[in-house]
Amino acid sequence: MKSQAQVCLRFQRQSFVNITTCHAHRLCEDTASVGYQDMARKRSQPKKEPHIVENEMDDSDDEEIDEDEAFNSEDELKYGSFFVGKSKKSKPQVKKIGQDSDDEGDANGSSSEEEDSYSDDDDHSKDWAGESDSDGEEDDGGQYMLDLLNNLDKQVPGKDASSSKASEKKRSESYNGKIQLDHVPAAAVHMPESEFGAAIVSVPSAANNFGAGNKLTLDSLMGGISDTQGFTQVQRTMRALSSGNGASMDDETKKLETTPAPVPRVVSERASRKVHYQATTDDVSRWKDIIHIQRDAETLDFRVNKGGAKASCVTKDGLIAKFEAKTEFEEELARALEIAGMEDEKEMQKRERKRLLDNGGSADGFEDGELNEGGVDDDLGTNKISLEEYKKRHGELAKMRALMFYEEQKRHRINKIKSKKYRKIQKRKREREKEAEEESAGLHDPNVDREKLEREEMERMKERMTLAHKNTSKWARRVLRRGAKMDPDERRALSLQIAKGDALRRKVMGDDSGEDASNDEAETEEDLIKRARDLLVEGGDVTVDSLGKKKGLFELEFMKRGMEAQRARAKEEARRLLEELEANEVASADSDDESNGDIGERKKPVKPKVASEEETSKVLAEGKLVASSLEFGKSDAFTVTAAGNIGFNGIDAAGKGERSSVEEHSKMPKPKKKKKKKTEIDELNAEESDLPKSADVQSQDEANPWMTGTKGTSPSPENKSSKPQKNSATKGKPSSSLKVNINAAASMLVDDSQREKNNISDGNEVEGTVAETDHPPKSSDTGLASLSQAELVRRAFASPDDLEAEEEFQQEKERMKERDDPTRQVKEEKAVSGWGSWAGAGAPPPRKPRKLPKHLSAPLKKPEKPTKRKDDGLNTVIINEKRLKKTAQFQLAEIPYPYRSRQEYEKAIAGNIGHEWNTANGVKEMTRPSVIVRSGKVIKPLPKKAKSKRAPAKF
Amino acid sequence: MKDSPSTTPPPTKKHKQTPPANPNQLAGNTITRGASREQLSARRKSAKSHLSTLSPHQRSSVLARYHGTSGRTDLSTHRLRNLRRDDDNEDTSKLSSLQLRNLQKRRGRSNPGLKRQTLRRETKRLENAMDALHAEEILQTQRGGMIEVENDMERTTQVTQEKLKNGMLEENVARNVYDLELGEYSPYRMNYDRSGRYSVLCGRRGHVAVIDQHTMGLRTEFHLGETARDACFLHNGMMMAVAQEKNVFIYDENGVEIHRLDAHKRVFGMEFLPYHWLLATIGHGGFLQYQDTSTGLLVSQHRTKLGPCHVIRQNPFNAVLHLGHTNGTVTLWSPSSSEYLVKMLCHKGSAVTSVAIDRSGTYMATGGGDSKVRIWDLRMYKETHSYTTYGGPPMCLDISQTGILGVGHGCHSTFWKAEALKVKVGEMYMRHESSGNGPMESLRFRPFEDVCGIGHAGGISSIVIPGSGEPCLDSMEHFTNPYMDSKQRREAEVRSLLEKLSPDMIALDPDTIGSIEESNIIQRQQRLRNMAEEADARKAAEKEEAKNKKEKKRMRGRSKIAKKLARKQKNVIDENVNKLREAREREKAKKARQERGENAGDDVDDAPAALKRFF
Repeated sequence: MKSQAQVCLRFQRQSFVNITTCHAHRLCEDTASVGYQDMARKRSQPKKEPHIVENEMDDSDDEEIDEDEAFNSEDELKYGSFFVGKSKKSKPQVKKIGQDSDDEGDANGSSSEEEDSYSDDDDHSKDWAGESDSDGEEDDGGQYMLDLLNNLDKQVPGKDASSSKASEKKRSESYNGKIQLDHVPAAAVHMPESEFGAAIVSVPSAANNFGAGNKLTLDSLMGGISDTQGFTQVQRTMRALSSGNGASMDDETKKLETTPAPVPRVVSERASRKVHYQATTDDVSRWKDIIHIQRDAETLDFRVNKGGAKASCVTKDGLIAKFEAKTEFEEELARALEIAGMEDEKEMQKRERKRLLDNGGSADGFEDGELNEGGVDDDLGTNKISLEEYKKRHGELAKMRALMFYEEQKRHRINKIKSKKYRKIQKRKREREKEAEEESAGLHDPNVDREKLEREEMERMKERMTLAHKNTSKWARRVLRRGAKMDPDERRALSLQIAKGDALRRKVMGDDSGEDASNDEAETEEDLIKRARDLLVEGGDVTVDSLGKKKGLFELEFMKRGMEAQRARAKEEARRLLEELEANEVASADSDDESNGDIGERKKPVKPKVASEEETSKVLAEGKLVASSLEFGKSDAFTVTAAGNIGFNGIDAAGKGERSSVEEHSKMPKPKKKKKKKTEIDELNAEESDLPKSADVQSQDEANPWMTGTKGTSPSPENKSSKPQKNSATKGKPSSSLKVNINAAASMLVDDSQREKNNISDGNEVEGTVAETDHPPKSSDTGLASLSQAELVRRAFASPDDLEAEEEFQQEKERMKERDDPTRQVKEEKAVSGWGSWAGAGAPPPRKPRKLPKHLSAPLKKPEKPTKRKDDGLNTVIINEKRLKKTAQFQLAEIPYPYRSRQEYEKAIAGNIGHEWNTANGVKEMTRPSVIVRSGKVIKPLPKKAKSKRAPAKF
Repeated sequence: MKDSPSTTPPPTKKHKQTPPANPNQLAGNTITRGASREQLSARRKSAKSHLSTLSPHQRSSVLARYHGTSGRTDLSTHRLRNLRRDDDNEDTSKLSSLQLRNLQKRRGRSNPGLKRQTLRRETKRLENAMDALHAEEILQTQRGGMIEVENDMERTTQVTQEKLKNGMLEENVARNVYDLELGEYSPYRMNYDRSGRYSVLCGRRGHVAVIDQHTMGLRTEFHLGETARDACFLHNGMMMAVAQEKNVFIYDENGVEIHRLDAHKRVFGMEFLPYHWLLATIGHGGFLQYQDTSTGLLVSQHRTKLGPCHVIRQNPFNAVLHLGHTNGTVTLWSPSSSEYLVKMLCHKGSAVTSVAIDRSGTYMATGGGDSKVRIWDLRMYKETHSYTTYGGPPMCLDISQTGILGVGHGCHSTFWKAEALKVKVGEMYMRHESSGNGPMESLRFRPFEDVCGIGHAGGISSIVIPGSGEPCLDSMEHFTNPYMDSKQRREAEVRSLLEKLSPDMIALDPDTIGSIEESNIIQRQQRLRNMAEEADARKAAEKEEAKNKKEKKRMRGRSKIAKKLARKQKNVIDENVNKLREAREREKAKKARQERGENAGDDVDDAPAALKRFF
């Protein structure tokens, strides 16, 4: 390694070489340096080539050198004494000095150069004298320098400033290596024939190798550069190499010979690449964190003053901090404050606290105060707890947490229970508890009592309104249906409910009917029949009795007539009731045979029993109210009309059969609706299917031919509702139902379609009401003659029937389907049917070839599935599936780049970001730019590292 | 190739991508702003939890905002399902192999950046929706009120206009209850402009009048002397179109005729699409025509093939036009399609007499000759329920901004609450009778007011239907501000024109604009067919062009640049050149004369003016 360093040094001192040798010499040096480079590369990688280039440039600068400035004979005369010691130098010294300079390294570089320049001149002067062959001995610049220094020391006092200046100048010039050419004497210049002539002549060993020709050899090259310290060693090695004599080799040369063959270039390069890559990766990965952060960031803000106005805004604290008393007044104030000791807020607070504590007088407080003064600004002070305490507290907390967790789990489980029954039980439990609580607590609280009373009153009112206890509830019906098998508990509950309902109803009706209703409970059907019979037999005895007592108004003629009429009506009712009851008894016997669900339900024996008993009884007393209440009970929607026209249906509703028909009204809609959906297309069919049913219904009242007549028309074909009732309701006359029906029949004769239209009500009472109010029944019985001209014209040119319209529509839909069928193209292409196929369309699939095993046979063609259309399943809708070319230009054909699925894309574009739909802030947020930068701002490169969180301070 | 020297260190492990604690803690200058991922997810979580605490009404309002204009969550889920199915068997026929590979790659791995972006956007939208709700609560203090009953015995229908006028209403509202008896030119139609400030009356026998509803004064009035079938305002109350005997005319605020639209013949009904600036007409010929009122172009013309048509109404949600035909069908149209988009058989065997669509575009009410008002759910194209009218078939329908359904049948007009569209309700909300005035001709709710204008044979009745008008104005919407001054109106005109939508953007689902085409098999094939057609057309056009192109005449050696330039200059007439030429000509002539020996004459010409007389 030492020699390498020397070589390096040598290279650094190129100028020295240049100066010491002649032109040719220098060239030798260059080539030698190249040789050394090769050698050096085997051990390491010196990078010193640039110096060679520098040398060549120096040559071009040669002319600049002024003769005057160079070290000339005058100078020599002046400083001649410096060079005296040079001849006395000895070998051992050289060695030592060389090592020294080596150690000193670059720091000495300049000084050694300086010395070199001097030695150069000296060398030249000698060379010109023809002593060029003494290279070997006089190569030691180091020793020479030492000598020079010694001489300098001696001569310092006698030396003047100008001379030192001159020497400095020279030094700088000699460094550039420009001197020697000017000083080359003519003899030296004209001597060499070739460039290497001088070298060849000067090297003594040259004759050994090639005495014959002027060939350039390694030796000759080496010989030229023998003037540096330490170079001799290299030279020796080289000499051994060039001689090629194995016997005379020393250790070094042996080593050289056994140097292993260099690694193949590919391998070495790969290794170097790897190293480089590693380095680069490390270098680059330093930016990783910051890049990650910046990618993650919503906005990159490159503005200088980021806060904008906020950064430069004036704050109170800032102003206070900057405050300085300037004006006289301020100064005065400040002084006053100072005197009062109020200038420093902190001090003030401290003092205040202290005063407070003093007033408190506790020693503890004082301590705290002391602490505060010491610098702890905490009101609480330090709270010390012992380990046991801590453990205890911790345990408590843990327990609490565990308990909470269990509770939560429990709640969670309970909340998940879906059972209605459970919930009901829970609710009842809660209510009971609450009640008990209230009772225990609020016995003497008048407020609570009143509240309770009010609540109860409300409940009662609700009862009255809804008549919840009219045992029409699901539960009641179910219980009643069970009949004899009834549970005693249930029976009790039911009777209780009925009683309650009764009581409530009595309240509604007033006190006078109370007695009547009191014994209703006990009544059974048989009693009812009996009573009805009695009534019929006895005539108006009961009523006469009751009416007989009344005087005044009731004695008037028309009142009497009215009374009579009423009595007659009641009688009629009773008669009908009787009939129905009897019929019911008969029907209940063979009700099992009837499979029709509707009718079977209608004839449920139990339910009518419960409801009708009271009704009949009340009908006898005052028909109107019963009828209305009946209406109330049956359908809520009816309430309005019924309330308005209480007198309605005096006859019809009284009997049991009618009751059942009323029930039918309320029940019919559901099954009918379903039916209608099914048979919507063909209403005629529906009509047919309905007719027998109505006939069934009527079978019960066969005794009264008139009634059948009315019934036959009233629940007529599609009619599911209470048309006759409505009509009768508006009329408010006992015989109205009959009349209306006749009218209806007439209108039916006149115009069938019109009648149908009027009667097509959906079985919804609502429409019924509309009919009542908006469209009085007289319009329904308008004949052809009464129609307006326009209406006549419309009917004459009426559009095709429903059926036809639908058919036409279906045809169009089929056409559309056909047109949009994706397989259509294929069909069209096959110009001749059957062309290209053996059997044509619709043929059974070909048989599988027998011989081939399954896995080898071709897969069977799947039958083409009919494509799904949007309007499949919608009978009356055609949705055009034609692609809208014009609209498609606003659509994308493919999923755009960063998105992977349509869903992702749709999500990304969903929602509105405009200011029309959003708040101002929202728009700002949603349209936030990803990069904010002012124009002209230079964006600094990334810092290498994201500043990590500062580690907590260690104490 | 595993011959790496042992000296090289093992490759460094890939850095585990830890999310940075806080982007604001950067070395040097802080450049990142906005929320980090953690903050985002926290915000989102809190917003969601807050959402769950809201009342159902509020929540639905927030979600409507969150889901965008349509607010049709059900539809969008349906759509998303469709899209997913599309993704599964996508049409990749058009993709190159490279694109296909890229798509597969994209599918294969998740994109955290994209995910983050989506998350961020959705969080912001959700937060914004909540903010908007709060803002709404603060800013929209006006609330619409309906008439409500105090007990079960009362009915809202018992409230008549007289009762309302005499004591129940404030004076400035009560003045909206009035009747105009204009029997002479009846029957009348009435229409309001978008702000509800102006109304145009149109008597069948040619009487047109515009009334300012604020001042209750006539703005303009004129008699046409011929049949006027319909009248409607254009973008604002300053211009109106009147369908007259033969053509449609456009008049300005002073009743001056501005345009005659010749293309529209015998028009029965008109609609103006405010966002597209289109005037749509339908008439005797059954042609649906769209006229752009900003450019004056006839955008498109569709043949309905269903005969004369009286019923036309736009769907305010998607600007699709609904036509009611005499064969009981309703067809839906857009200018971009020459065929109907949807055809529904609404009233079997009887004509459709009227159509109305609610503001959200969800419900359609159709009235037919069968005296039925049928309510349709336009999301499914299914009839949900129907009402029967008595006293005449429903001749005119309208649905107010708050969803109140008004039906004019016979001499009655009945009004149903907003629920009547969703479910079948038992009783109507209000009713009004104008007995003796024949069938109702038109019934329209006045925007932003609780007023309804009815046109009939006796003239016009204006009545008050409490709760029918939207109580809160939207100042961002153009031309809906009734108190707009002229400057604002001008500005709105410009803005509205700048924001005008292309007529081709009208589609059944407005969300399709900007989305990816659905690739069901029918559409896909049609697309391919369309593409093939386009390519063919392009090729043909190119061929044609090539044929028509003038052949360049090339001669050997003659196309030197200098000559080319000279040739170019040949036709240019230069004054100086002309002068020179003339001068040369004169010279020539002179020379010729000299040669002939006619010097004398020449000298006269040459001599100076002063000396001429000497010659």
